[in-house]
Amino acid sequence: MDFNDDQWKTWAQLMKLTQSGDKAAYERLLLEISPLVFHFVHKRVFDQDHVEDVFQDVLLSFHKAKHSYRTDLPFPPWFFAVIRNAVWAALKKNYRITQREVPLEDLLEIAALETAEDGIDDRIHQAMAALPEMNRQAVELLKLKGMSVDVAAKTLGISNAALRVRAHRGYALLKKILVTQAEKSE
Amino acid sequence: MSGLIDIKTAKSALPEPRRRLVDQLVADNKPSKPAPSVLGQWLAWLGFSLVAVVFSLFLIGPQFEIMDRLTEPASGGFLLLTFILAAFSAWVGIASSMPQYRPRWAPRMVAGFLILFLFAMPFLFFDRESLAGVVTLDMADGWFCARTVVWIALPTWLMLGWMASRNASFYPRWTGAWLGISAFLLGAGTIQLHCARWETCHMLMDHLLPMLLFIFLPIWIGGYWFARWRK
Repeated sequence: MDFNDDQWKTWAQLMKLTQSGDKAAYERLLLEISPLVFHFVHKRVFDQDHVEDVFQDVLLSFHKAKHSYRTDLPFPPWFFAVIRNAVWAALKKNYRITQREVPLEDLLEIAALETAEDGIDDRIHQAMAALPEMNRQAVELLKLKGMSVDVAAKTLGISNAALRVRAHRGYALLKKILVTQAEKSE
Repeated sequence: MSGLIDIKTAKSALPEPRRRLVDQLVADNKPSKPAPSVLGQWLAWLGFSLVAVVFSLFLIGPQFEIMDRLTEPASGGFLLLTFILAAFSAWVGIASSMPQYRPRWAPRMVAGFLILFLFAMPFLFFDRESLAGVVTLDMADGWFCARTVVWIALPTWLMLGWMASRNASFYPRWTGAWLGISAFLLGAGTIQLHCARWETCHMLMDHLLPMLLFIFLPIWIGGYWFARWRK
């Protein structure tokens, strides 16, 4: 994509209209910057599984920070600085979640392999049942039904960020419950 | 050119999740007032700080020999450095609450060096009295100076925090720290205009130590408060 001065001036103009509440201008702006943002994210995120999540986080940050753009200043420096910071923040968040996330897929695989004689299946079901309703729903939709974050959030009628928080807390609780169960059985 | 793109075509070319996200963001768009510039916010802080210092001095009164102290290199320099550092920290704190802020080592190094020098100044230029004597006097007056530093720092930090929370910080803890340093230094400078005890242990324990003891609070609270815009 070739970005010339006219393009940036147009986007600055669209930002100005967006800040005044013009939805059509904002839609046009988002559609036009999306490929650039995606390209930017794609170049910086090595784990391809996370590209879409990071892209969505970045666009969301852009949306929340758009009031901080001063229309009397050039658009590109503000835009790239925000996108760069947003990518960095999203990567940090993803890293934290990955580090603390319970590998539920592994647990399910182990449960399938070791058969029901250990009662692992039952234990997972019991642990799931012990989760608070909203965390259980989030974990079920994402990990058992295999929905994407977007679809699951839409199903529950909540934001993507809220869904991730619920799921993340669910994983942590699930881990705690399973560890406690394992300790008791020993 | 932007004006030539067909919205429907561009939209249909997007994958489903992105299309839905765009729709949600567009639906959520409301008129917003552009955030004031860093300079504008810093000037607001400057005005508020002047009012806070003058009001505090009106309540507690300046020290009797203040003019002599201001003209002495050591005490004048100490006061000047305290207020300059407070202003510098407020500037960097406000700047760090903007989404386009990029953390750099230079301001941290400069501020760190100057704060170290500020803490060293009482050892280098002022009289040393016994720590026991300072504690005895502090117990007698209920740690008046330390309490006053905190009382001046609190509204200043809240005011700065209110401004910064309306921006969009990607480094909320750093923002909290810078603003906290600024607020405590403003308190330390103000109490030094009132307190006639230019003694090493007293200046350190009652004027500067509150910053070291309580700086974790603005950092911790800032981590939540200045990150709220992303929720």
